[in-house]
Amino acid sequence: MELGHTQRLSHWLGLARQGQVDARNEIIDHACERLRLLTRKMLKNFPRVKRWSETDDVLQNAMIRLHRSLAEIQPKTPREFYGLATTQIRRELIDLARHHYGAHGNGANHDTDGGEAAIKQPDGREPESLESWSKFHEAVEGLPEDQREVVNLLWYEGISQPEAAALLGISLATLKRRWQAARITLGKLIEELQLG
Amino acid sequence: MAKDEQEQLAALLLKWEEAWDLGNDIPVAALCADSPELTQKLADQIKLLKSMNWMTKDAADDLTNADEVDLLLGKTLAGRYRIETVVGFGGHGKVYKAFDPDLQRHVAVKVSKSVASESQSDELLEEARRAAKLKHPNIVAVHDVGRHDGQLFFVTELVEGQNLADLISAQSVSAKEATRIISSLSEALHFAHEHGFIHRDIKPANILIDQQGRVLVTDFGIATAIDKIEDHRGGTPGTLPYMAPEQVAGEVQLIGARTDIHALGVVFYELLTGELPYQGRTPTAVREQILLRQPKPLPAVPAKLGLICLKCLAKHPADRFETASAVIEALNARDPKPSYVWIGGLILPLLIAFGVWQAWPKQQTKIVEAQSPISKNGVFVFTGTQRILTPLKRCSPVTLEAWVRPSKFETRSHYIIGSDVPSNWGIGLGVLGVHLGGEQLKGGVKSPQIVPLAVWSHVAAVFGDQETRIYFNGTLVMTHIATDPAEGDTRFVVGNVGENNPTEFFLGQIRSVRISAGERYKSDFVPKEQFAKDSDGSDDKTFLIYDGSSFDNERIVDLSGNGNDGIWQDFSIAD
Repeated sequence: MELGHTQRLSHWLGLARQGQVDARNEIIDHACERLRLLTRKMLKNFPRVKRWSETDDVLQNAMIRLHRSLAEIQPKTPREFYGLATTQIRRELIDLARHHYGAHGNGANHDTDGGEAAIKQPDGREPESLESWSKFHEAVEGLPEDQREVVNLLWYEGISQPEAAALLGISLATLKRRWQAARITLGKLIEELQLG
Repeated sequence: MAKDEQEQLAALLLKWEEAWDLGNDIPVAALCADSPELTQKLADQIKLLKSMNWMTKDAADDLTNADEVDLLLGKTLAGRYRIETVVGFGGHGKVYKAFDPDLQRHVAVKVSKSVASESQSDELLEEARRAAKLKHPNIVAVHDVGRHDGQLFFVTELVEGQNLADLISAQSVSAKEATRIISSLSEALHFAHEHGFIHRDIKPANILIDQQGRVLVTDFGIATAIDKIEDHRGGTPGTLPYMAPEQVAGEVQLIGARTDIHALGVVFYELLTGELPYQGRTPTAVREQILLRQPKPLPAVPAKLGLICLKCLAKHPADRFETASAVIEALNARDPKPSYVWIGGLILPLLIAFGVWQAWPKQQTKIVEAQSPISKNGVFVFTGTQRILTPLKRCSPVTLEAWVRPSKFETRSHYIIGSDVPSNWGIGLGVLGVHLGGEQLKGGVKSPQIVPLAVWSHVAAVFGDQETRIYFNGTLVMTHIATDPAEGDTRFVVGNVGENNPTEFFLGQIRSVRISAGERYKSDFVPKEQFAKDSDGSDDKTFLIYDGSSFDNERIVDLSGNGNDGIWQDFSIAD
């Protein structure tokens, strides 16, 4: 994510409110791109569902829905847009995860990749199953609002910490504390999921 | 937990993480020296933060392994090269600045990301050693190659300056400077090709400009060697936007010197226009463009340079310059007229590219006065803000079909005929990304058929009781489970879906549209150039026919005689 995205978004929102179609599409395309990247991240350890031919249609449908739901809204500020967009993105990710681990999903009886996933992850424990991913997204939904907003901006939208702090009108230190608090809460949850 | 204790913990955590981000893991005991009672809690929280470190990596960078070789900083490779700092990243590994005490000079050390087996690396090192013998003023000299913990490393001269990628992103380059850079590059390529080396990964990041302005190609023999370890899809390494069609298609037998000439063309194009010739939001979209689409012509650059650049970019290797020295000759030629030897290879791509250019939509952002359809030579032109609203209630079973000539695809859906319910699933025919398909109740329908740009195609979707069928130029390309029954709660629209909200629009030309009740096509057919009412002799079931030549101001005349005239709407006026 390049710097200045928020400024551009703000500019686009202004244009979109004047009815300019391409500005509106820039905004929506950005959200769709985030959904695509996060889906790829979520599915990367699941070879059976990762195959593009299998995920594509589901992802395509999710993108269509996201596109449309965002086309319906008229956010006034970048902050409001991110709030709405991230909620939609998260909803789609939960649906995607459920789709794949549900009774008929390709990941239905998925056991972890024989420890392979853990070896590949020097950065700690990403959710290991799609069910855990789904719970992870739901847990984000359940975070206190100030923490959730930070997770939305930094993780779901991929914007930089200084930009996120500016967008929320808080200091960088406050942003970092909320970001830590959120990860600690989510970390506990994943730990429980994986122990249980 | 008491509030001040929480505050204290949070402050300590911040301190810890700031150091962690810089690569220092401060021990908990040191952090809690003044408040030992917090040790356990702090240790627990740090453990959790470490376990959640994956959240600090952006999903967009997820495929990089940037941290893996940081361990090399401060180490000495092969008992000789002392690694000092990271100076660059590449798809294959990192580049470090290192000091060589034997010769008392700084060098660049490129370390591969992948670990090679011993036998594998012996062979590759041999190849790299061979490449090291390439001595040319425009090629970065390779001094040494070796192995460290299974990772290959390559020691080269350290070029103080910048790479071309940074240069392009920082400033625009004059046509004269672009020509100079391409000339030098061609010199380097010609020399290497003469010595039996193909680079296969020419791109701005591999081209360095030193402080004197000298142009140097880096990575000869290295890109290929590292790629072999990584087993790149049958030996076709490269960086996607710079790859030639034969690399994208995996046609290994066609890969040769002219593959590098294609990459040279991409770099030339980028230098001249500031843009890549093939762009797309996804790798799949870029691949399709490289394989199928001609680059836009370069109207604002000297004609001679544009022609040379496009000849380098010819889809088939045989249509490109035969050698890199032929590129230099063309660049140096005084006469701007292209020689007849290569004119044949130029004309066709240019004509096609010109066609694409003509149809290229100008993103409409200004309010326009005209209320009549944009119609050229009897076809409707859609630029993103228009649609035709039909009076026809949505229904099923139904057959939607049209003759279309798309000008541009993006990653979203492009509805040719859809339902006026932007926030819901409708019955629609369109292109999803680049694939022919549509939508129904409830879900998208996407066929494997790619719709070509800038040519006329007949597209049809039959939403039947038992199944949905998609036809491309009269050939069945997909069947899908049937739609849920459609209610007549909305109308069909042409050009996009969405009232006052054209976000899933079609870009390009639509010549004719026909909507019919029931399943007009049950097997493959030869599409008629002109739609007529029930021209196939079947029952009376045509609902409407629109044609780009039949309209009266904003009213689109229904040629079926059923009176289902449509209304042309332009949202740049409505808003």
